[in-house]
Amino acid sequence: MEWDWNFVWEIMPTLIEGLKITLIATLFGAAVAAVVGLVFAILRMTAPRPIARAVGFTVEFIRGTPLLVQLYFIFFVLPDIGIRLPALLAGIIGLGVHYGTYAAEVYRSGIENVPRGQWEAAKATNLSARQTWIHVILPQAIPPMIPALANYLIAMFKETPLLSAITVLELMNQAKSVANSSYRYIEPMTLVGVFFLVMSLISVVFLRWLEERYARVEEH
Amino acid sequence: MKIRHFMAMAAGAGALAAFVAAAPASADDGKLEELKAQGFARVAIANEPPFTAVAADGKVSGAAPDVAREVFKRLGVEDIVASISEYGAMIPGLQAGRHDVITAGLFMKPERCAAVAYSEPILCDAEAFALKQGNPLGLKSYKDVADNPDARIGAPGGGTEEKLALEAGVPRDRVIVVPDGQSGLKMLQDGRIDVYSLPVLSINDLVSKANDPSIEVVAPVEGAPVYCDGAAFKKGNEALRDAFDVELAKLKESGEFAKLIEPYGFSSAAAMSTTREKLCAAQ
Amino acid sequence: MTDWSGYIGLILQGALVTVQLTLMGSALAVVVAFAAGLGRVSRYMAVRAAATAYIEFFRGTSIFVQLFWVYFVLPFAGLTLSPLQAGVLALGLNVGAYGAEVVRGAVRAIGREQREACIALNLTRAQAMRHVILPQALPLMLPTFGNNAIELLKATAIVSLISLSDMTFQAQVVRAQTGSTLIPFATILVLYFLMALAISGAMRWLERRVTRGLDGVRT
Repeated sequence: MEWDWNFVWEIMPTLIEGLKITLIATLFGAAVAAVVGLVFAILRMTAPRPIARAVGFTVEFIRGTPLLVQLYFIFFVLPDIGIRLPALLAGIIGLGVHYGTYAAEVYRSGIENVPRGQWEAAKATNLSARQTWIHVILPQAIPPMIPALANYLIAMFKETPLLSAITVLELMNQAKSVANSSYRYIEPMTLVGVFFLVMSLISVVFLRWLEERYARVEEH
Repeated sequence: MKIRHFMAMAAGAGALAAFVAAAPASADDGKLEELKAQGFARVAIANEPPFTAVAADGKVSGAAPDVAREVFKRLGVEDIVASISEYGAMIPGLQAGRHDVITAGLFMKPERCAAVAYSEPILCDAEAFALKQGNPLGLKSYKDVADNPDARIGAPGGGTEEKLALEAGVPRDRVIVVPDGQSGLKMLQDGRIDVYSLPVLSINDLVSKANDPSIEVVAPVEGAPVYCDGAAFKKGNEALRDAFDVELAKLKESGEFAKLIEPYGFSSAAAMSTTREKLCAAQ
Repeated sequence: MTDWSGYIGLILQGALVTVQLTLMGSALAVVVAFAAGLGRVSRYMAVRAAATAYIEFFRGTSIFVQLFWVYFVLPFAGLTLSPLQAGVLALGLNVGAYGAEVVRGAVRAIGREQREACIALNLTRAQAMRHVILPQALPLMLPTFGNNAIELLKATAIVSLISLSDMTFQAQVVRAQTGSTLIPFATILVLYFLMALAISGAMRWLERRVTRGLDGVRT
């Protein structure tokens, strides 16, 4: 079977349609992850002990099980208890919660890396809790988190093809549906790979820039 | 460092080479001899009862693999080894040498006949819809689905029903590719799709197992003809296909064919009253 | 009406495939991680370039896409791998690329004074790597390797989409047979979690082993 350029041009618009959905899923998934991660991190650090432990276990559980199975769960099991999400929304929530657990760890280590002396100094200068967070802790904690968070953003982007398993017509699913009706896998699959590679290479350059700009948070 | 390094690379390369060497070589000549020597034929199935099914103990059954098992036995190939695949992945998988034959109720349509070498017809069935009790959208044909901008139809990816829906003019975003029967049923119950389309016998099997009074069946779908499947071989393996046909014809004649497929609800008369030539020419 | 013991058996069979994939994939990943990671710090430009290209390629494209590519496209180049081989190859090469960066980072984290001491002692580069650098770098790599192994375990679930009968796949089969979605999926979620716990337990044990005798060298 030979590579066919005409076929490539023919399927390109379909794949671009899919790419749009992939990008939407990534962006909204990242937004959900950022918020969910913050909730997890705060609960784990400040909630009463039993709650903090329960949250800790939940985070570990989500991190220790495959996203694919979690997606099946959200899509096929939740409707039984009356939660019926459209496929794309289910996918965004799945991605967001899964990567939220990773984001939570980044937040936590970022905040814990702010030296104790800073807290004490804030107290000594009579800053309120709100002032302490906004003016002292977060400005120091956030910059080192940025490269680590960006790393997970890229990782999440690369996991979006899993959404095809719950019928979201993203890039991979469009490629499969093209392959299904033409019996050709070479061009669509290779093109999907090329799309991902190009996007990743661009984001790697961006990531290097972020890493140079902000100090890198310690690998945990 | 240089030597260590080289050794590390060599170890990596070695691991890869061991991998590659373990892969079976593919050859088109003497395919039957190859299968005999290997003792089994690799078949693609779909786990869509009654066409194809996998039991709790992992045993493969269903009308299509049962017929194939019997024919291969007569050809001197002891057994079949099945792998479950999406319909759309079957023909590419066949071309890529992933399996030796497709025995999955992959209905003959002219464009499929152009891509693979079919045996004579084996299993025939019409198309059906499963939908909510009372058929609220009044869907009786693929055309009805196309004409109703709210109707979403579920069908197996790359399956005949997906193609029929698209050919009838249902836009891509209202044809939901459903990974398997159970998912299709669940999506129908959950209201993610309004109609789920499969062959009549598959729908009946699925709906009777579900035992859900809120689901009803429309069969057959208006305007969709009866289709028949055959065992699908890779182009270039016509010699094997012809040998398969000879034994299949004998099975049909002796009445054993009927005994194999009728318990599953298929009609042997339907398969015997038509030919590959007719089905592949039909539009 | 339902033969649950039979279905549990089916899922356990799948669990075995998942374990197999994880072990074989991890083994391949470790080999390529060291090959590529040390390649990245090689003296030779060509080796560095090859290692970088491999790492960027496999980190840059999705594991899902790589798997489909190995499974459906490689056969046209004359290389037909069984689903298990395709799975191990894709998983190992993908996670190996992440591991390579860990190896590189750990090797480079070993301080200048250690390298200089090696030169002073007249060790060859190979000797220095084997006896001085790696023994100190290994403990630095292990925690991240543990995380990588868990990522690999989770990634095995996607082989179900190329019809390899792993745990996720068998759960689908059980679901098709019984009509129950909750039970098979909840079961495998718990099993995956237990496997992840086993991996992190094993890694902690390994960490204690390799740091033995290194007390006071690094924290």
